[in-house]
Amino acid sequence: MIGRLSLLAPVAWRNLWRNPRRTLITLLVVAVGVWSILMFDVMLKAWTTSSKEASLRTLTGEAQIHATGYLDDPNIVHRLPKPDGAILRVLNSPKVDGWAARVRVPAIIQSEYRTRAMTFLGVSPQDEKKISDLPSQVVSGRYLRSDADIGIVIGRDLADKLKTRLGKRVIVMAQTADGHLAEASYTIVGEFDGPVPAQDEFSFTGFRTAQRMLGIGGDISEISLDGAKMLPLDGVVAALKRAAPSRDVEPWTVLVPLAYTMETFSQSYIFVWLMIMFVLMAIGIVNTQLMAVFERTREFGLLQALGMRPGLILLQVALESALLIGIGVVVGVVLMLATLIPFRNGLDLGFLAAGSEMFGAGRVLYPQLDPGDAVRFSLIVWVLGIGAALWPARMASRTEPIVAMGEN
Amino acid sequence: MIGRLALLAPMAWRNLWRNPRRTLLSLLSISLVVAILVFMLSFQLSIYATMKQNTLRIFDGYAQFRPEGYTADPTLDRTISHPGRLAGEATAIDGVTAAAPRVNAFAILANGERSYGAAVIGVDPAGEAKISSIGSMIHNGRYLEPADRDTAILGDMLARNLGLSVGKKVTLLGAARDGSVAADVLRVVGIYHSGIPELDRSILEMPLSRAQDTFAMTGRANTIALGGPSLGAVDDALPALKTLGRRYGVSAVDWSAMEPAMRDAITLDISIGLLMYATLIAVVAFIILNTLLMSVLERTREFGTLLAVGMRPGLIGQMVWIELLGLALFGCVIGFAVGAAVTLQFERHGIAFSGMDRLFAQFGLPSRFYPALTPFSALAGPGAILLSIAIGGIVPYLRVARLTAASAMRAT
Repeated sequence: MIGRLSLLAPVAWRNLWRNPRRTLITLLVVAVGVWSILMFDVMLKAWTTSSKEASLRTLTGEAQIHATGYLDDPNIVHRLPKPDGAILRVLNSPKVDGWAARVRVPAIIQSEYRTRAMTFLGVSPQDEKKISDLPSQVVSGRYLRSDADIGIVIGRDLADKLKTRLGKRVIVMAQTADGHLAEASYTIVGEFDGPVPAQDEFSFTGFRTAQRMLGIGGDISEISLDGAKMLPLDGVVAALKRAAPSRDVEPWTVLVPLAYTMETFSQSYIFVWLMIMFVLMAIGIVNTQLMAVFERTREFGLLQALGMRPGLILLQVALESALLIGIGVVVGVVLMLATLIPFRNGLDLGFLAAGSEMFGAGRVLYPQLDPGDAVRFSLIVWVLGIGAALWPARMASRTEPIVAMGEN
Repeated sequence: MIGRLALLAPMAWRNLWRNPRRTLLSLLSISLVVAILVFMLSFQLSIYATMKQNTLRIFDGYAQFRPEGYTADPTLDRTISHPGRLAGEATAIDGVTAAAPRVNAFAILANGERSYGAAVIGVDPAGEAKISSIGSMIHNGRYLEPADRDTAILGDMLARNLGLSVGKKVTLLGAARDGSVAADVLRVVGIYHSGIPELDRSILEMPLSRAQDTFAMTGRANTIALGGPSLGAVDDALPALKTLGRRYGVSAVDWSAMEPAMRDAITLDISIGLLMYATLIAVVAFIILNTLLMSVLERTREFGTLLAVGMRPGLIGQMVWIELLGLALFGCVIGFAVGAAVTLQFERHGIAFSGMDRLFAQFGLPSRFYPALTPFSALAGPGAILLSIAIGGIVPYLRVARLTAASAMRAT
């Protein structure tokens, strides 16, 4: 077999270049097809990653624990005691990479000029930095320093909408544990950037400051956590549910269904596109190879007359197609990598940011070619392409030497 | 010209069928792509139309009159004076059937121990019902009625969070236009569910006249929502609305200004779609040109003979070009027929995305979509393919036109 291949391979290679133009055009068809499949894959991946990151790394985390009823009605009455016992053991086990407890209630924020509804959070800066990117997105002023920080960090866009700025004071109103509407004044110590909906919705103060304002003692509203990288999240969630059966433990797939659906659906879209592109490529390959085979009918007749067996002719023509498609696939992958060069620092959707945020993604996409996908899709195209090329190869192997050599 | 075509067309047609397999494969690739393009464009454009229409019908209206600067900074003190007269004149414009003035305020709503911030919209119940579908989404109680005074309707999430049900009282506390305290107590008469969390969580509607009293807005409104038979009809009336608005010192804004996120989302989706369609067209054009180029190379000797008996090179080039266009045209017709048939089939029955209902509802979308075959969606795909193949056809044309009888006849 190997010996046969080493005999046929150079012949097949030379045959390819007997008509360079035809070979080049077929190469181009395969390359553009592969490029477009990979492009689709890369864009959708970048998109879903961004939409997942935008929600998970902003505040959600990979899973959350709440008091039952909180997700439906985020009122202060639906709160949890500080984690302890079994649940604390799971949170501090290697199953969990990082976690943060928060106070999180609907509230009203008031500047000298404007009033808006928002979500008011009391956070622990050290824990928060482990699971959220917001602390690193502070663009002016500073992030919170400690659990007892009495400043407030708000979104830059919210500050604009309130017509206020760093160093000014705002009033926050929220319902307390005993039911009255508490008012407290905070100095804006920092402004953060990030997805505009998050900038408008979330404002942060120190964990203990919020607990004191709401009169909830040591209680909290939610625990947000990231599972260990190597473990499936389902297992981590199941362990937490066992440790805290009376609590509401939900993974991000339930908390942000949009990001989850995008991820599932994009996979099927990619395969639909792969099939469409493949049918087109197959037509292009078959058409060209059939032509090449017909041109060489006399040659195949002669080879058979000289004693080459039909199986070997089939192998030779199939080998030519395999080489042709193989090169086309490689060119397609190289084209794709070249396309990504201008975007290695991210593709800024800039003026379309509001649109991408509406679908839950960030404003900058990071297109990256997943090596696994590149290999997988290339192999699929290559194998299916060789399959399609078997038709012309079979035609060639069925040449009748007498008829073929008599042909003009 | 016609005479020449009459001579060349039958030759070109016969040439195509000298190698039926090759021609059929080429036809297959063109018609496949055309069918996909016709269907996808019809589907995509109808989703956009549904998205716009549905979103706007829930609350915004198909267009609005807004005071200058209101879009960038919506505050209570930017007002339209004489809203009643402006609304009346607006409905006299062709394509506009309803105009409803609104007061858009913000207040803290309270019920006993619970309080939440929410948008408080003063609406004219009769006009509003023709523009916004919130009235038809009431699942508990009733919508506001023209005779109502101290009533309110609100979203179900807001009602649940405030612990309110039909018949209970809700307290409003906010700032009026003149800076004084605006306070009121209203009776809940209806609770709606739109499926869009933002609307269900943060809007309370009350009668316009009462809102004008409460928020020191007597004789004024913040916006006037406009309705019509369809979004297209109101869009067409926009120039007339702008002219009318200028006389009152207010601007008429269309859907893209009211829903900039949706406009951007659609632009983004179109851009990605166009990129994909362009690669599809490029691949099919390569395939067709490759096929034609092969058939031209194969026939070099024949062209030499034609040249030798006196046919001009340009004429042979034209014949080849007509072959190409004929092939493309034929493929486009088949693809169009298949694409249109599939589209019309789905236009009748719709396409359901199972399991997506709740997600779509968040964007105000139905769970079943109906592609719509329009002249644009039907012809844009085939047109783009014909055009790119016709332009690409210049390559074989030039090659043929350069041939000389002597060298061509010697070609192998």
